[in-house]
Amino acid sequence: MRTRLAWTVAFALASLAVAPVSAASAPKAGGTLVYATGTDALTLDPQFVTDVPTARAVMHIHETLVYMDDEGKIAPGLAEAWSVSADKLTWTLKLKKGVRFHDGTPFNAQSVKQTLDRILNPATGSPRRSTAEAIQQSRVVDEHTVALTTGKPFAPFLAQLTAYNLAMLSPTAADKLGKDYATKPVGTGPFMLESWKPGDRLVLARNPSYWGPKPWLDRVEFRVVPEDGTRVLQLLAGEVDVIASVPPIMLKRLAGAADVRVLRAPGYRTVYVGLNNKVKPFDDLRVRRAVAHAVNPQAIVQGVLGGVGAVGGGLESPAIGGAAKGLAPYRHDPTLSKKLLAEAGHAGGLKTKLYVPTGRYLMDRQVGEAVQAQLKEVGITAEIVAPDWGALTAALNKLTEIPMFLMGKGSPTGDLDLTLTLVTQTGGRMNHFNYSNAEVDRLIALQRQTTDAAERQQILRRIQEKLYEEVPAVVVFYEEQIYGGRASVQGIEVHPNESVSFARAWKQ
Amino acid sequence: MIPFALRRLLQAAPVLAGVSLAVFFMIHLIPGDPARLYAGLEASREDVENVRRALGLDEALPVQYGRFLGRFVTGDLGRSLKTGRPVGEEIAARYASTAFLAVLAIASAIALGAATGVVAAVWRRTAVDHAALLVSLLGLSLPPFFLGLVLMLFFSVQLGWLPLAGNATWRHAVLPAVTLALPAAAVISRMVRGSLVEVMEQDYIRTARAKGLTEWVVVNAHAVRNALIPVVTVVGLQLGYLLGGAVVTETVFSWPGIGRLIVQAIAARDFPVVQAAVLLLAVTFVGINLLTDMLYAVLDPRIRLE
Amino acid sequence: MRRRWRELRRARLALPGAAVVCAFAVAALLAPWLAPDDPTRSNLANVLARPGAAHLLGTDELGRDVFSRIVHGARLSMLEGLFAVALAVTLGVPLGLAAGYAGGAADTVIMRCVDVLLAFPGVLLAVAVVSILGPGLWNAMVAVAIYTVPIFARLARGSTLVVKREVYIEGCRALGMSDLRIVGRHVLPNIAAPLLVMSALRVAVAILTAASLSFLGLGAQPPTPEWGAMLSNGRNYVLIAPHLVIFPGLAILLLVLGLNLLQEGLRLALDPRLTER
Repeated sequence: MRTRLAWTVAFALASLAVAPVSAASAPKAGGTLVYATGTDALTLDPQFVTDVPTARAVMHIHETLVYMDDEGKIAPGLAEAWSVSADKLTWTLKLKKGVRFHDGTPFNAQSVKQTLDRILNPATGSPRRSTAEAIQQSRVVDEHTVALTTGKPFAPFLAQLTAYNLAMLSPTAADKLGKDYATKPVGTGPFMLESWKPGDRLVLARNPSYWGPKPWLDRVEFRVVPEDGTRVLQLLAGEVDVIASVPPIMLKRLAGAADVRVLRAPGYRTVYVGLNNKVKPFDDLRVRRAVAHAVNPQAIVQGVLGGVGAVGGGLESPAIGGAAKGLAPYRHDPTLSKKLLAEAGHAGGLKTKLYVPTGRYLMDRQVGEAVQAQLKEVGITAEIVAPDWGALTAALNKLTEIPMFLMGKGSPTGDLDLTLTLVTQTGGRMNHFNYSNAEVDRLIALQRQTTDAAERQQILRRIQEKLYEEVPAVVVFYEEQIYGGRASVQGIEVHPNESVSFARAWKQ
Repeated sequence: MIPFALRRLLQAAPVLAGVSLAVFFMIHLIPGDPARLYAGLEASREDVENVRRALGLDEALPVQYGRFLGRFVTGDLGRSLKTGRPVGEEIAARYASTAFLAVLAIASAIALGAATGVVAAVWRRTAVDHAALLVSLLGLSLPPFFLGLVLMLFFSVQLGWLPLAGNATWRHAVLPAVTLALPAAAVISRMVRGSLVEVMEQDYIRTARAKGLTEWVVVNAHAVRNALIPVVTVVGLQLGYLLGGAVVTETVFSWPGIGRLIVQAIAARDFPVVQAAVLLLAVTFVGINLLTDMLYAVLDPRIRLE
Repeated sequence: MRRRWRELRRARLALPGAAVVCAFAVAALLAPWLAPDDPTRSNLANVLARPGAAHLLGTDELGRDVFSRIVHGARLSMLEGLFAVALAVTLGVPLGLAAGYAGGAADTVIMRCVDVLLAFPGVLLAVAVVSILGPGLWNAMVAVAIYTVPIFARLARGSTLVVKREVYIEGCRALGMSDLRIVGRHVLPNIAAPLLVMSALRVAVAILTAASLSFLGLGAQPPTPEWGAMLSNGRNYVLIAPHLVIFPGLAILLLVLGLNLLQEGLRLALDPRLTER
């Protein structure tokens, strides 16, 4: 189980600060918790989950073999213990005994194998098949032991297993339902699906035969309310109990309300301004540095985000285990910026386009506008282009079309390997700024195979320092998660990878 | 009556075919790759191709269209690209939701509009008439998102009488219905007034008045029936508009309607959903037009003979 | 004589309407001089300020002066209305004229295409067009124009049909006048009146539709100070900064109301069939 210590402390502090309500009241069974979310879950099949709101719902019904705790260490989930072979290729996991899926099928090594085979099978059509790619072979050793073999030594293997795409499904249900599994999921989790009106609400009910501590709540309702402002109003009115993604400017209003409290937690996501390293003028390091000195992250965090968010210079959020600490943001210095631009031959200023997503990240449009304004001050005229997500991703995939863009990157596994591979390795699928450095590539390949933790940490640090020097993208801020909840609701768990759990929540 | 209705339906068929072709064509013009969109930015090229194959997006466009038509005539609307659920399920509840709101709004609009229109007609060219005109113009000029927000602020936030979002209870429908009804009522009111006045000035009405009947009886008995025709037109048009144009109101009140579904589906490049939903709305319009035409025939026998 | 007098009196409705529209037009033209601040300059130290001495209508979520944005927005809204309708008239009227005058197969084909466009549910056609063209002010205007073309086509056709039946048209043809001349000299001027009235109405509708598109995020892009977009952004802050919603909303309301009053007055003055209304 995940450690809740850091969280519970923050929670208790927050509640003491806002309301003189008994922070030490005993959990009460019963009740329905209404969680208002901006978008509906797209599917309830873990192997088809590609976004966080869907993951939040899916992970109440399903569980993974292992979890990442708040300190970045691997904690047991459905697997109790694990070991790796001497050649570092085979991982043996001992599974919990006496666990059953919601339909009564026993959870065992066979079901693990079937789940993994299913996602690896191209016929399933999972968009996240590559999450399990490292697994070459899965073997049932005995009823409660499974052995997973990788092709090459893969240090972050266990972190990979914490991905929600690799949650365990009931093989009986998956076989029987096929595509319909998406609407009739059967997992091992603390909640089961009760009803789902798409686009409106998803209702989960307590699993009475859950193998772990039974949930206090009778039901959890995921209600779809697309308007940010409306969600806040509903929270204040008591129509809903918990909301996510509170617009930071509303924090003052929420802080003033006696029966509402705000939950803040660090997150894995970095919001950055990507510069296309293969396109003029951003192929010139001086111009990239000029942009870095033009952007004023503190002002953006204070002014646009109401102080919610952290600043830094490294591309990786400090909340991720292995992230280099101590890389300060580039100093806000418009004069230096202009000087660098002049040196690079752009004394008269520069015209470019800034592509900005809308509605994808908290306050993304406003952050984009603020960046645009800051760039204007040093003579960089950036025209904002804000196509919808589909058109934006299409443009991003045409590698040389977009010169400058605002984007976020998270960490699905809580381990730097995946994000470095995707974002900074040459040709990485999310390497939209076309960064390419042979030395960095070599180091990334090396860290993946280095199983000694301390050594690996060093390699990771070298990579991040190199990135910091070359500034392929300018970090604007690290996202801080903000949730709002009624004071009567306790026991909510939030994790830096943005998963929220109501498994231990109760209502007074 | 039946051959009349049948003839109209037959005339509508090519229009509907045109709509389905136009939608198919337009939505495929929108930049973006749905397979990449669903797989997500992190997915490998392989994963994206798998998804593309699984969704049937790798076939040539005419083939895809043909497949769509083939399934459509058998009642199978396909599966949503985004969620994998059958399209019929996805749009049925949302359509019903919008239809409910639209009917509620149009009923209120007719009641309000007819009442004010009649009053304005009876007291035509007096201060009452002018006031009614001004109010109608005001109703027409209010942007629905502004009106909706203001109503929400006042009734839901300030007074707390009505809920903020969703469609769970009858209370939830009040503000969105009012927001939709007011502009429609304005249009209907002016049409009722104008039409009534025109009819009332005609000769046979003057004769009835000359016979000594009071103004009210004159209005009710004779004028109304004939004045109804243009009003019926307008009501039909408004209802049609409400069904598709309610998207802004649906957004403000988080009402889970079909307008919002279509906008979201376009953004998500969910072709099957967009096509089926738009076609459904087009069919509804045709139905409404047919009904209005039939109502004309009832009201004015001369039209039946066309 | 009394009838003319009554007509003109009714047309006095147009006056307040014209006044309002003129006021906005002046604001639109003189925007750069009227506006105290640069509408796109943000000041992150002074976000969401209430209306007051420094900023007449307050500041928005990025510290920009709302009054300046509203004044510049007048330009955009008027442009939206005029351009969209001008485009719609340019495309729709010739189509309708051709259909009405030529009749027969041409008529059927053109009107069927128009019917297809009309069968599209309202704003959704505009949404689809903007999705294809990409978001942006000009694309939104094109979308609104496309959505308005069938209305003008229908109107032009209907009016043409009425005029076509007039005896003197037969006379012209007997005289050997070319069709083009007949259309240009006799049909067009006679259908101008209802077209003009409809244009005024549709400018108001176009402004509302364009604002709705911006409200949905599909129209003007940041940092353009378009009223619908301003309202859309402002609605998230409505609890703590209602002025962000109220002022753009009022601006749209007043401009559209003015246009509607103007349109009503025009209708009464220009349409000879509408006596005694």
